[in-house]
Amino acid sequence: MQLEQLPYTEEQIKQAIEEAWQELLQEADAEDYSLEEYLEHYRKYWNDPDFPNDIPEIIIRAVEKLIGKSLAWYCELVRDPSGFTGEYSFIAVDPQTRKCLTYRQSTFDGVNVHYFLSVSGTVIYYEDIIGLVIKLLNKIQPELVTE
Amino acid sequence: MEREKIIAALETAFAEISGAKYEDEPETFAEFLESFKKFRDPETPVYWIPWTVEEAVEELTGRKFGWHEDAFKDEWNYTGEFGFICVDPETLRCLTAERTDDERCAVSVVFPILSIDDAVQAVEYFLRLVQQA
Repeated sequence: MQLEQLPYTEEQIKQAIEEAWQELLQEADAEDYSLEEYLEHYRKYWNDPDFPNDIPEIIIRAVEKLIGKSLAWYCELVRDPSGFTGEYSFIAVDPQTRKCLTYRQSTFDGVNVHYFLSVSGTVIYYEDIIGLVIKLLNKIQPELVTE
Repeated sequence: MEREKIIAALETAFAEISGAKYEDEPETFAEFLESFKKFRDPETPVYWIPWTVEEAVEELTGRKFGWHEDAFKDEWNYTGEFGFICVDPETLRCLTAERTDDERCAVSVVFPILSIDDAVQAVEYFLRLVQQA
């Protein structure tokens, strides 16, 4: 995690995650409980197949709040025959320039439009969410600057 | 571009991807699609379809692109619809990004590909995108 390369403090990132979480609760008209409680519930009953879908939504909203810009996204939960692998694949495009912000050049397979983020298995902690937001920001922020 | 040329590029790409070029009586892409449409066998290597379209586009344009492809499923099986995201590696522009009616931006395009005609239309669409870019 390279927070020092980003123009945000850890507090700002936590704040953005919290706001994203509150938005999701309001939209779902759900009772008020913290993201930590939600994650704890998941760790306890981790066979809930719908759960991992909320994680990228939180990450995307937090990233957009921090960069102050709405992006176009594609996100996929990577699955193998036994289910969710703990890996998320993101594609982000700047709607103004249509630049793909998640590309990576690889000598092996040419241009890859995905950016993969993974947590350790399917057990997700609050710190994992912070880490994923920082990793995604590290990928996207330099691309936005050089546009 | 002529339809025959596009079909030839699709068949060449399919023969490469499916390994049919090493077989004595290879199945053509058109036959593969017909069989997929008829039986919707869940064991079908369905990603051969978008890969074939992508490979044909690259062959016909003489360029490489960054791709993402999705085969859509309903409750039971593959629907025959495929989502594509295409990025030009030189400009990093997402060629499939489009403004939507609600002023948002969609990054993928979706095509039903259940026949060789559908595949030709998909290739023609991408060739137009590349030309416009």
